[in-house]
Amino acid sequence: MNWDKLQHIDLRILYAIILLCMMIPMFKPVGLPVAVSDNSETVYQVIEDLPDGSVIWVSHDTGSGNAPELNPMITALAKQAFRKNCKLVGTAFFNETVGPTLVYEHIDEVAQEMGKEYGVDWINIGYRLNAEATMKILVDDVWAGAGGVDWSGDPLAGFPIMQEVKSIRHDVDLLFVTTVGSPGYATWMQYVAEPLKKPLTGGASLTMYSGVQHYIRSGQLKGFLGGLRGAAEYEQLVGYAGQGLAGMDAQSMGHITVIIFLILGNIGYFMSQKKGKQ
Amino acid sequence: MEQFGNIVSSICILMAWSYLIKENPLYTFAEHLLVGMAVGRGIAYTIEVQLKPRIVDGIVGEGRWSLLIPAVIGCLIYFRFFKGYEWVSRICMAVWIGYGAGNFLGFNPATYMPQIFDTFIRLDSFDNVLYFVIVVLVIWYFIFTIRKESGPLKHASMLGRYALMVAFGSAYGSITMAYLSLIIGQLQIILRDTLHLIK
Repeated sequence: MNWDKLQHIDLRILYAIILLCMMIPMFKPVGLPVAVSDNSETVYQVIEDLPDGSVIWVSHDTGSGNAPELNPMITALAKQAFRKNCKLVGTAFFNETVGPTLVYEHIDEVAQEMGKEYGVDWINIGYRLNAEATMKILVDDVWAGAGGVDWSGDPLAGFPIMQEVKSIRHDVDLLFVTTVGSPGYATWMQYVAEPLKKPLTGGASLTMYSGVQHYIRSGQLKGFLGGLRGAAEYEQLVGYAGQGLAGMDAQSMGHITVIIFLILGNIGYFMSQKKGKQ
Repeated sequence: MEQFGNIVSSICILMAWSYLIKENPLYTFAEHLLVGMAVGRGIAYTIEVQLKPRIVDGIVGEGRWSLLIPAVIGCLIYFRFFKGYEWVSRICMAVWIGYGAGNFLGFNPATYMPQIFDTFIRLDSFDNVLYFVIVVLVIWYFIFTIRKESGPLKHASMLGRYALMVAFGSAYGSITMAYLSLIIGQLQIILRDTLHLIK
């Protein structure tokens, strides 16, 4: 057998097979179980333990690339938070277009469903230039940090929620940050959570999830959701099936396919080396 | 209108994916479209939400004249376009970098000190022992001032390297999983939101 072929499969064939394997369970869901990890449980519990009516600062620090992983987290958070009559203040520092729009759309969808009103129960401040400097101002003066307007340029004075939220230091109970890079959880930790000793939780793209483990261990992050899988676990805890759970079958099939090709590639490598020695 | 948006998204996704076959005009068009729109919206957004409230409302409207100082320093960056006066733009960069570096170092210990304290742990469980040993081995691997050519010093350094390999493997596994999640998100836009083939 020509083992070399296993190492040099045309990439386009690999892409097609992976895509196909991921599409099949979308048409015919297998319903693979999703076990809830301790980290996701902690995220859920931290929010559950907040007194009713608390203020949660939500920063959807994502770009378009990783948004599908993180959007379901925002939807699930909004469901859990509004159920407890918590107020949400949204920002997005990673990208000036994608983050603010997505945080608005995902919270707004849940807000309309649960009868919550923009400006009263939640608000979207959106993106501001220079995340570090803005965060430092927001700590003591949200109005100044936001430049006095929400994401669409409307004056904050017109929103009742902003009479309650004057500073992160005194008026915010929890920070929930979704993150794909910098600015992200590390920036919030450095300039807001650690100096103020505010609880910080949220979720990260899986590209950086292994890098946040030591922060979870040290307690600087109160649990953290890892990618689509974390979102699915969180949805399960909140008690509804959203986009996270919908994608888990496809994700598992994708993993199995990738693992099979990794094994085949390595078999090819070892066998062709062995043949070469002979 | 929503359906129109989904159709446009799906077409753009497929145009971007066409790069996997080979580079082609459809992909290039999608790329230019993305960059153009992001820049255009970014400029409009910055004027509306950053400059107008701070410059027009803050300085002119509320008379907060102190805002003129950062505004003027910021404008100096445009001197890079004036031949012979490029050096003026360095003032802006100097303020920016100087403040940024000082600020970063000032706030950094708040993040990293708890990490160090977290290694002062009771060695009463396998997890804690493993954590402590690996921290020591990895730090040992990165000490380059002592020769570690043979004996236990070399083996400890090698174990540190293996621990790093495990961490890299875990990170790579996570990245693969993340990319598959992104494909799922885009497939959902095409198959569910646009074509309504799945629920």
